Amino acid sequence: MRAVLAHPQVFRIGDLGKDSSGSAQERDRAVPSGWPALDAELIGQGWPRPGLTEILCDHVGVGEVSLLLKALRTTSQSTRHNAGEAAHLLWVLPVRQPWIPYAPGLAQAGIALEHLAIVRAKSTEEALWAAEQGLKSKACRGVLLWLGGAYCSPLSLRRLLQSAIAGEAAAWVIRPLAAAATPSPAGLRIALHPQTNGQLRLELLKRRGLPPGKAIELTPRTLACVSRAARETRTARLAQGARRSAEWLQNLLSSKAPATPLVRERPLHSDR
Amino acid sequence: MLWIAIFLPELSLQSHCRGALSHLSDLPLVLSDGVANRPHVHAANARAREAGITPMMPVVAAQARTAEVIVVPRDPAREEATLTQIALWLTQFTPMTCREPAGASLEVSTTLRLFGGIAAIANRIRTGITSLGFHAVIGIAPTPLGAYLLAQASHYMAGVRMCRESAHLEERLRDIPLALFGWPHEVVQPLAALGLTRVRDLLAQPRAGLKRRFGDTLLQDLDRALGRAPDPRQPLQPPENFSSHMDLLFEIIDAERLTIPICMLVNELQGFLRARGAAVAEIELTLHHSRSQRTPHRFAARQPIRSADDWMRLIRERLTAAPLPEAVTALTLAADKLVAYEAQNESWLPTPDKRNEQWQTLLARITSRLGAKSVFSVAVREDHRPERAWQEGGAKRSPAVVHHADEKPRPLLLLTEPKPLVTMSGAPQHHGNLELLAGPERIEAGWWDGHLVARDYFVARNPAQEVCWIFCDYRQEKRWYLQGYFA
Repeated sequence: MRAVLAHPQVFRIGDLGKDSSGSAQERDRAVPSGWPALDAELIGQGWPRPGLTEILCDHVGVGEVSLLLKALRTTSQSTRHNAGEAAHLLWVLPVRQPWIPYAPGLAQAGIALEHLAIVRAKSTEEALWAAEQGLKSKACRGVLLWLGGAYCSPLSLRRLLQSAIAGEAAAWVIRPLAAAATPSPAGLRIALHPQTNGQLRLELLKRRGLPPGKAIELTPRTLACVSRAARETRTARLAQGARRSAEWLQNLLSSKAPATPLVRERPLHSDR
Repeated sequence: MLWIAIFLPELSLQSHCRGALSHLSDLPLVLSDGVANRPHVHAANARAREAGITPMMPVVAAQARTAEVIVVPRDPAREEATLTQIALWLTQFTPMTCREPAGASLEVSTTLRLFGGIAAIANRIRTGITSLGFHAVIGIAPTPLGAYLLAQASHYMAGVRMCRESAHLEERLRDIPLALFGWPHEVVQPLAALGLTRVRDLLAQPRAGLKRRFGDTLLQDLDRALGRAPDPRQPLQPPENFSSHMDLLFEIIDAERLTIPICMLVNELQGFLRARGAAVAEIELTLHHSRSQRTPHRFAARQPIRSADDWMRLIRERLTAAPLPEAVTALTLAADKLVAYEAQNESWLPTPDKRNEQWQTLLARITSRLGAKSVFSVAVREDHRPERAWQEGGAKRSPAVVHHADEKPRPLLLLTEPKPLVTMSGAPQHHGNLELLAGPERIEAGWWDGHLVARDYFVARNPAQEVCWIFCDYRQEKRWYLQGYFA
């Protein structure tokens, strides 16, 4: 029995997260998500490629892009390792939304902007068509289709999956939480539940080869960013305070300046 | 010297109806010519000939044979234009291409090696001309006139019509009828009366007598055909721009059926571009409707392309996306702004170049279907004002971005217009009370170009846990706006 269990083809649930989970080929092709806790729960140690991932969330700005950020970065950059592969990223925006991806933010996150194309569709059909073309073309390594609240039939999702397999690309579809009730051919479905403490709870509604229902908590980039910003502001304030008191003390000692500290209005970010 | 001559036996018919070939296979069609009150049949298609209609028959007689015959008046100017287009298309095989009365001749001895031999080149010409919607027969000889005679002969009579050696030329041309030289009726008629109908009959006669009786032309043409006298030719000069027109004869409303004639025009364009060693990045296809209305379509590729398949893919995307507004009666394809073509090496393994090409094709395809503004790329701009710190890259490549580690955090999604927020007892609201997480970051810039901003930026979170980027415009009585999401 031990010999049987030691066979490399035998997969055990307990081995999940160790190096042996998933075949070597799957691991090579999967897109690492950048979240070790999430990677450990996925069979290829990353987002499936080729494959379709559904991300279900109701709000904009809860960390849905941050979740994909590492994957977007790897799909938009070509390294020596994947020089022969496609290194482009297509981002299909939801219909009638007032926002667009913001270049300085993306550049900060390390996404190669010259390999990113954004599609602004006028209808859901157009958005689905563009995503399908991108997946099929073999020129994109990833396609992010943001459907927003628009309805998308399981048949369209099946077509996306087929295109992703044909073009060996990874597809991410962002849909509302209500879609969790409808069946879907996607190999991985994740529902996002933001928590009051700023953490993002990921509920794995469906994953290939493993039992569903597992939940993980992550700290999205937003919070990391914000805490950094808050820290910086605090340091700036402290520095400013220290400088003022030093000035005041010096003036007091030389006793030729006013005895109260001079309060000046100055922009905080300019004195670093 | 080795000449290939093309003879188009159904030129006049096909130049009028090639756009509707698929409709016409089972309808009799004739071209009428001659005086207006008594027109006669100039040419008839296979179905009409089956019904017993022959050229030179009065149109009334043709209509008596079969009532459903379609009569189209002949337009010699259009035949001329079509012939020029075909000759231009042939220029891709050799620069030494000239027109013949109903065909063209090409001097190919210099380009034989490039195209892989005489059989390969003849084959390419034959299939290429078929893809333009014409039927061609080919003759090969060391002289242009000889080749053209052989091409005509191979249409009218059976037998091998190829001669590569000058020594065999006389023997091959012996049986050619004199009618094929295209001499005027006054010359051919007396010759026939004398019993001279073929080249060998003429060669048996004393030259001095022939010259006295029929003038110089006859003997000169004979000598040129046989290679005994020089036959200098002027090669056709391809123009700077491409423009080709096609009448459809029938109204077509179905976009799928329209692609067949469009494909013929695009094939013409491909041959023309090959001849010029050029490619184009933009073409204009005009659909003509009845009552002289027209719909112009401009197709733009990301980089200059030449291949007919690539252009057809773009055209098909656009035309099949929306139904045609009206039935189409004619087509015009035009291309100006030719640029030099840069050939790329084929590779067995996918290379970055190849991927890039696929990427450009994909973008062109999406643009073609969804509209020019639908696909864009973004790039960073050096500006403190957030709404001006990015730009739509369009087709251009964005410059390499320098990554500053100590930058202030920027959101991933930006509202195109800042959204005013309501305040409740001084605190901004967005789906609930906004809790300020970080800030302020003061941005005050733009006094130099009239778009002054004076704002304090904060990172804020609402009860739905949406992390927003909001600002307070401190010049306008502390009004709050939402500008982005830290998604």
